[in-house]
Amino acid sequence: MADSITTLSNILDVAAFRQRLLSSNIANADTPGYKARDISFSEELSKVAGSASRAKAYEVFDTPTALPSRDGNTVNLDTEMAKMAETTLMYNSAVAMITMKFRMMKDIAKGGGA
Amino acid sequence: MDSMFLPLKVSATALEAQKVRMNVIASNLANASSTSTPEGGPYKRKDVVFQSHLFKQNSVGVDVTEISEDQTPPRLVFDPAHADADKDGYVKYPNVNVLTEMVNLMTATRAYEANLTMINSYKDMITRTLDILRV
Repeated sequence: MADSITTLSNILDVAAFRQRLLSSNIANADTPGYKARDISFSEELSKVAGSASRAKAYEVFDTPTALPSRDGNTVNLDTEMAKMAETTLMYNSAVAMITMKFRMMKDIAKGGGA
Repeated sequence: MDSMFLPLKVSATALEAQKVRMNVIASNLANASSTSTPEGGPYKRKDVVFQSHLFKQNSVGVDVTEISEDQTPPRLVFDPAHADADKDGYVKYPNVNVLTEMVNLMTATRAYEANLTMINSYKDMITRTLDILRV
């Protein structure tokens, strides 16, 4: 029971951290020389999968781009927006599952009655 | 707690920056035919300079550090009847290209909308997280 809550909260941690990077990328979509940064969602999760520990240090890398703009900016607004939507959904579904988990625990504590 | 709300702050700086940019573009469009200014000479096209602003590691906002003047020469139009015509009959019109300004305006609007979406979606995430407490 407690294990799945740790896993879900790890998903929340990683998603919240990625969202922070993505918000910086979107904010700097027109800043000359700014390099877009990202983390790999699945890699960060597999690092902490199975263990009770929480993710601490994330491996942040520059987002690879095929075509940087002439001012050296590597933000692709459309890609970043898609990533943001993906991360939001991931976060929201983990929250929904945690909520359900707690609701189940509450029901059990109450003896299964409504 | 502070870092929980940081993405909102980051996106807010971008909204602010894009708004300044839109103001500048509006001035450029409004003055696309201003042949005289209080400083003398035709209006000079203005542009914003964006610079990233580090709040904390991995949280980077954006600031407008300068509003620069475009130094390209004015457009010369032969119109001897104009009040601002020089002795050869040429009038110096601003170096504003309306098409360029419109394209920049569209880019600024899209960037503004993107940051607004980010704020809304992050706010939604925080709200849902707080709703865990309501179980």
